[in-house]
Amino acid sequence: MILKSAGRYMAATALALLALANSHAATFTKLDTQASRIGFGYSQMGVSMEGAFNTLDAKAFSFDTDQPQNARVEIELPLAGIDAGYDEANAELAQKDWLDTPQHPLAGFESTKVTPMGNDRYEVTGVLSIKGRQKEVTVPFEFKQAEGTGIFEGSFEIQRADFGIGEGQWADFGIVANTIRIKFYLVATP
Amino acid sequence: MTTRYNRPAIALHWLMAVGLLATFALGLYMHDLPLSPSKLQLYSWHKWAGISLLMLALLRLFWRIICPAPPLPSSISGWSKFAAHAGHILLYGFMFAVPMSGWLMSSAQGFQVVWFGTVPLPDLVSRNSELAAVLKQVHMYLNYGFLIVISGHALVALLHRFVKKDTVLTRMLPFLAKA
Repeated sequence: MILKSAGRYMAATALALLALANSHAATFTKLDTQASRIGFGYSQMGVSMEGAFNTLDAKAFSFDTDQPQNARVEIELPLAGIDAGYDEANAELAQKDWLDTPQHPLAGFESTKVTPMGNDRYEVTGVLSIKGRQKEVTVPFEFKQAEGTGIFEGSFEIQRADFGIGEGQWADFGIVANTIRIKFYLVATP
Repeated sequence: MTTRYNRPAIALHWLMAVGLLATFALGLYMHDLPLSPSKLQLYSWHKWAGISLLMLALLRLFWRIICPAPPLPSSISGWSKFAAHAGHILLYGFMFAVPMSGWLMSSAQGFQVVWFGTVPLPDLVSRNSELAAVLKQVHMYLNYGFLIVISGHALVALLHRFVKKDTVLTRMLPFLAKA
């Protein structure tokens, strides 16, 4: 009888420990650049288009689940490999009126503050740099854990005119809309 | 027994004739342009026109079913009657196939067709660059085929009017009250 309840007690403890191991208490410091993706959505002549970047890197990454407000991230995004959905656009995007990638080969985001919003939701505030211009943005994201990795997923909008993306003949928002939605799915390991 | 086309049929015929030729000319001009805001505009207008013509073709076919075309004049031989019917079936075929092939191509290229920039139409196929290349050829050849049949159609209509001097062309003209 005592052995039986001891067995049940051990099983219960094991389950509890397992639950703890799968939930919190982890610090993520390394971005998995292969599994992570940054993409974007835009609209031309009323048609929704999807694009993506083929590489990304993190100069800094730190997210401690016990101290999320101390989290830091510094993303570096090479723009040469941008894919806006069709070849003509990709060639055009490197031009001076667009991203001017020979002059500004990298876009970046450097966080200054992370605010927990509850329910595994957070907001990260930081400086977004594109084409030599900086703008402070606040980006909402959702955090979850899966098999020892941390997944940070969210999206936010920018106005391309704020960064001089699509100038000159491309400044008309009736052709290519001003709003660009940046979407990210970042995977990090401890 | 009526010997002229009814007014809606006449209206749809000439509306579509002008629309098809304009859309064809637009397509011919636009496809070799380098990328620019104008090119994006022209492509959109071409697709909006194409879908509108597809809808008109549907309407026209429906109308022809409920209000059939007048019978051909008795002066037309059996062989000519067969050729006329075959030609018209071909024309209707192209009226559907040409814009459908364009819609398919756009879908395969990854550009959803959004009618007048406000009504998104479903992608008929998923994005696929090999299929897109094939459909581009299909759209082009269908267009040239259509142009050839339209030219033949117009030429024969003119022959009936000015050589055979019968009512075949005049029954499709809007400004003649009498057959």
